[in-house]
Amino acid sequence: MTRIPVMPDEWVDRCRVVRFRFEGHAFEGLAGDSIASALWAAGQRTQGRSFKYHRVRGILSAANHDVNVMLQDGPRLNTRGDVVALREGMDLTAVNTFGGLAQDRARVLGLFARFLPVGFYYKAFHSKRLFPKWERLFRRITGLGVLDFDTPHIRTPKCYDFCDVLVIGAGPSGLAAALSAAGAGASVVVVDENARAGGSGLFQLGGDEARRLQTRTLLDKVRTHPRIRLLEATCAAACYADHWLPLIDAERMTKMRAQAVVVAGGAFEQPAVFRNNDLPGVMLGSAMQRLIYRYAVRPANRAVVLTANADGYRVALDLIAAGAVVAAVVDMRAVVPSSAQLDELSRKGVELLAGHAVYEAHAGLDGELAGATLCRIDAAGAVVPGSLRRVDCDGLAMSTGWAPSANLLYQAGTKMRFDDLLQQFVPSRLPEGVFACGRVNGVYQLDARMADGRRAGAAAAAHAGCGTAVDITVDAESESPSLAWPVVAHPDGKNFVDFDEDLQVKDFENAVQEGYDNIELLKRFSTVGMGPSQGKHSNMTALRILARLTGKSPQQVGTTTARPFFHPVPLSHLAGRGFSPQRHSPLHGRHAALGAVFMQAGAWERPEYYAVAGRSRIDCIRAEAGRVRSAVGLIDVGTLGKLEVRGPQAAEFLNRVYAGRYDTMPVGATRYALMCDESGVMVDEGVVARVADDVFYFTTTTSGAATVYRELSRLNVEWKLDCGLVNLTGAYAAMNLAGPASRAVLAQLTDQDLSSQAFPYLGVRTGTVAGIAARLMRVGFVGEWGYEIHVPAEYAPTLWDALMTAGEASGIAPFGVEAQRLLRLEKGHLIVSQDTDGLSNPFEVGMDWAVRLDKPFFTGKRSLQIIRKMPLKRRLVGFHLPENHTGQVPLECHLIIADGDIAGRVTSIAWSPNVGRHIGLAFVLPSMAEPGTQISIRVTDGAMVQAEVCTTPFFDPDDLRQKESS
Amino acid sequence: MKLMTCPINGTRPISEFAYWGEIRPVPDADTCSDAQWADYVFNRNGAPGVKKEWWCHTPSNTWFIAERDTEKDKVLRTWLHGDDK
Amino acid sequence: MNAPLRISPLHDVQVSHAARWTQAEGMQTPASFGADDAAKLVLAGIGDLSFRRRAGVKGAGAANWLNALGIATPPRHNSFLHMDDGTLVARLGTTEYLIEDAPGGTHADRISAATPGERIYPVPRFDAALLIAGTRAPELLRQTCAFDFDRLLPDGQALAMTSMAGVGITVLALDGPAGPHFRLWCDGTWGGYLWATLVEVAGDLGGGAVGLDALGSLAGQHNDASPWRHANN
Repeated sequence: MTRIPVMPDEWVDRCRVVRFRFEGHAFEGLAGDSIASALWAAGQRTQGRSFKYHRVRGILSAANHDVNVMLQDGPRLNTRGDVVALREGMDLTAVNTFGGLAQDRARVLGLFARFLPVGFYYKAFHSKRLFPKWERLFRRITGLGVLDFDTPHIRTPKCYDFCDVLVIGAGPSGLAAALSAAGAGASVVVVDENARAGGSGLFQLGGDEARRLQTRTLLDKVRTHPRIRLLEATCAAACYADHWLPLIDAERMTKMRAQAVVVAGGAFEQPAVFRNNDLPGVMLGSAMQRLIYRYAVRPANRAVVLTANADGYRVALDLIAAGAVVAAVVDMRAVVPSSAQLDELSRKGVELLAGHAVYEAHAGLDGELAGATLCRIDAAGAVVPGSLRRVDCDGLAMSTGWAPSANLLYQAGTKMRFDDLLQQFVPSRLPEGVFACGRVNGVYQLDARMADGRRAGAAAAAHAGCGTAVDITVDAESESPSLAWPVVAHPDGKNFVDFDEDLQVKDFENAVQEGYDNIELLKRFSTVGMGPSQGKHSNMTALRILARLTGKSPQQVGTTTARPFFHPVPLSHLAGRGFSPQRHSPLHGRHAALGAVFMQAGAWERPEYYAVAGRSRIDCIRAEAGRVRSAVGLIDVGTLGKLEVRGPQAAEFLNRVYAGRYDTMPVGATRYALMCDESGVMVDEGVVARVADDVFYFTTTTSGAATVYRELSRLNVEWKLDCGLVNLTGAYAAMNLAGPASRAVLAQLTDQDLSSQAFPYLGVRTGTVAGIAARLMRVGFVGEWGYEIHVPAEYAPTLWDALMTAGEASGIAPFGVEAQRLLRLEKGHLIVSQDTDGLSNPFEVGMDWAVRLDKPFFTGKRSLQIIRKMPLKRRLVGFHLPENHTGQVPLECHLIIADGDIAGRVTSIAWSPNVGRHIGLAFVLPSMAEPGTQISIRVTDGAMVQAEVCTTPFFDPDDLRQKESS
Repeated sequence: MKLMTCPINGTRPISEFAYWGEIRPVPDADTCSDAQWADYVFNRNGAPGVKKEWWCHTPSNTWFIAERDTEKDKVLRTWLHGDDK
Repeated sequence: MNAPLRISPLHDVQVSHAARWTQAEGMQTPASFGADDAAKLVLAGIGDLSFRRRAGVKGAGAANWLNALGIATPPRHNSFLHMDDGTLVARLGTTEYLIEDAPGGTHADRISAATPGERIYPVPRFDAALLIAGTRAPELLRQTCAFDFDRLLPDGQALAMTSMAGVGITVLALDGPAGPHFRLWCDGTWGGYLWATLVEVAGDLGGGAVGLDALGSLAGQHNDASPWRHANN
């Protein structure tokens, strides 16, 4: 076919034939081929259909700068044929066809192009009414592949990595930069998205072996340098703050943190714009060179080279070296600078035309390139009438200009300026630690690129603290690598600017005429640069067209925002392995063994209730609560925050952070603790126990544990009081033994005198329980005689087992969070953050008793003084439903309605077996707070449920169950 | 991800840190008016510029002060409370 | 009364995986997870050293107090030392210390029993204490932690407090006859999650949970004759 003799740096392995299928036909390629190169070598030049008009397409860039060859490989979507390596057994189909590539029924769309004007989507989706209709149509005709929902789950671990200098691009400038940085002592990582390093240094040769050897030498040094890691087939997909870059390879994403970054990503070659510039056979000059030197494929047998820079002359020489005939070199410049390449081509008898262009390309019967019409152009780029001439060719190379691969530079915050001589945007101000070299920096000649790389590498190393920056002079370009106006007008159009979106020159003219004459607006209206290749081959030309149409300079027009990612990244790479930290009590295994159903409480998993076979959730919860009231229950409360403050000023510290008073509290006592923020809002609650004169042990809510400890630590740093704060949340376990039999159960395990005289309600004692050193507190949250027992975490299961065994005769049972909620509700105890919200102050929830405004200072005091003077806006009250209530039951957060307006909301509600009716807490207007007031609660379906405000506690109002019976 | 430098633990990803807020002068609670106090409690200065803030390196629970230019999105320096004098 | 059995914070996540149990320092701990423990340890082994006895203290007076109790303290913040008897002393930040006894050691108990003086605040430690070893340990760390562990290696005496898989940890690198390995500690209540996560990642790398028998000298640091192995026989 068109495979040529061995090239020195070719990627293909001629000993390994790879068999695959394309559009149902069997093909053979070589290991190392891209899909497109294998097809091209096999003579299959039509490789895809365009997105909008379904035109046949072939190779354009061979560099992932276009998506002409977008394929599906079994379940793999978005396979970019021009760069994806060929694998044995691939079964490939072109994605954008109806009935196959050759017989695509939608190819007639091209005939109806006038019904798909620019801004079509924009207009179609503008009307909400028509949106669903259009959406259905577009989803059907524009899908890029077919999803297979049975695709196996794959795991793609992400990982972190670090280096001093990250070099992006392993072409001549990047390799030089890496060596220079490593030479200064930096640890260097070089990434290149291509399967193999070397960049243009190994394919833009102009038949000159010396150029190749220069790059080869650099590459060999890089490969063997002990401080350089070379990562091929790895794409630096974005540049985030502080030099953080996701590196994407076939397997996964690596999050690279570099001290300095050198962007040496080169430039994207840009298509010239003329009629039928999209025919298979018309391709970028660099694409032809890639085919020749990477895959040893002759791109064409008889080629025309359209150029406007020195690169095109090298393309012509490379084509000749690959055995092709060059029918003509057509230079759009009126005056062509003299060069060795020009002389060489002249000697070889190639026809050289200056001041000429390609007027249009012609398709043969197969729809592929068969010839081109050339024309003369004047200084303004206009076609000179009567100058048309047809040339037969099966290849047409476009080498008329470049656009910098500056996406990552933009993302890093680089300011770019348009250089009129170079006709290119180049960095004018780089952010700290970011460097650019080579063609992205406007440096094109090989020696200059290497010098620029050495300069950038040394500067980057110096930024990373290795060596010093060196002053290297980089020669200025002698000619422009890019033509200002690579566009040839044609009355019949089909002169494409954006191949992803099938945008032609007239689309831009129409868009500007409709007023979309700003680059950002033009992009959104025309969709230029919004296709899968994200403008890599189209944005610069679109910008030039807009500049000409609006009479502005490219600098004035400016560029659109370059966003991550540089190339699309598979979602599986982004998903990776997720981490969802879970906190487990040391009793977790005990709960699980007892059938606990767990609920999430902050980072913790806590038993919501313990499931019993054949019993509903709510029955389980009521039975657990019933057991606490009738006998004894045990609940794991180890998730509470547990802190200790120690030192001469420990009491002062607590006085400042809580609303209550702790300096007057005797050793051996506990006291409720309410924490407010500076605005007087309740933020946390707990119990403070004075275990020694200068030692206080105190608890916080489960959800507040981490933040309260953190904030108290900060206050301790700020206030510099003589005390130390220790977080015991994880080090200690805690369980609450509650119920009429709790004392009898505990008495079996401790020598502690449990009489009311020796250990009164709200007392704290240290002793041993089941041989374990413990802190015991007499508490009453659930309204029963009870003990909170705190022990070192590693003894918690032992203590749990001991208590369960000791309680067996009394009928002990574990109870979960839901039963505890019911029990405390019967006592009218609120839960901060369930029965309060981000605006609740202590006065409106009836907690005046917990606030000591007579203290000199505590957080929130000044605000509470202000609030105290103002009338209350709402009150938290108890309510109950009628005893015989049978209808719908309100839920938490249902609204209380008075006179058609919101008058409050339910914060807690439950059916109480002990009270014999539904009871709850609710915020209501102060005018409704009197016991006996009737309130209306609006339930989910809008119906009203009547309830009555009542006093709390609902159960055992005189706390007799917590007192010694006399 | 951005970096932050803890004066004790060194430079780490910002995910290891908790932000508290800007350090602002507290009005004298005994002498200020209710309006002055409310202004302190509820209003924050959102204008970009150089600000001193409390930050915490959470794995080590180390609180420190960071001077940050919120206009340039840059941390200028960090130090332990009290080390500034 | 005899001291009750200590339970590792990792017990619940290990209980269905351990093949054989033993007791070390009064704590029930997995002796083996299976026949391939030693093979896993070569690649990416995760061991549970929670059984080692620990004590902690912080405050401006902590260093002097420890010195008076015969405990050497590292001169630099965020560094550690091994005493001659194998005790590990880690300085966490500026004024906090973690003391971990070598097998059979009694420093932790002595510290816990001693009366703290001025500006000395005891920090009871019941951490999950892990060991990570093997040729692929660095890869395992890079998959779970954004800290550059190369920073720990050069001087060998530095420790770091950082976040691994979302959990706050203290970590240090040790070099021994069996190659470099890492010790890390976290709050016991996060331990089960961290253990399960690391074992899963290690599994991808050809490693996994390793019992005490295969850990051998790695579990004892300076103490090659592992006393708990005899206790098991």
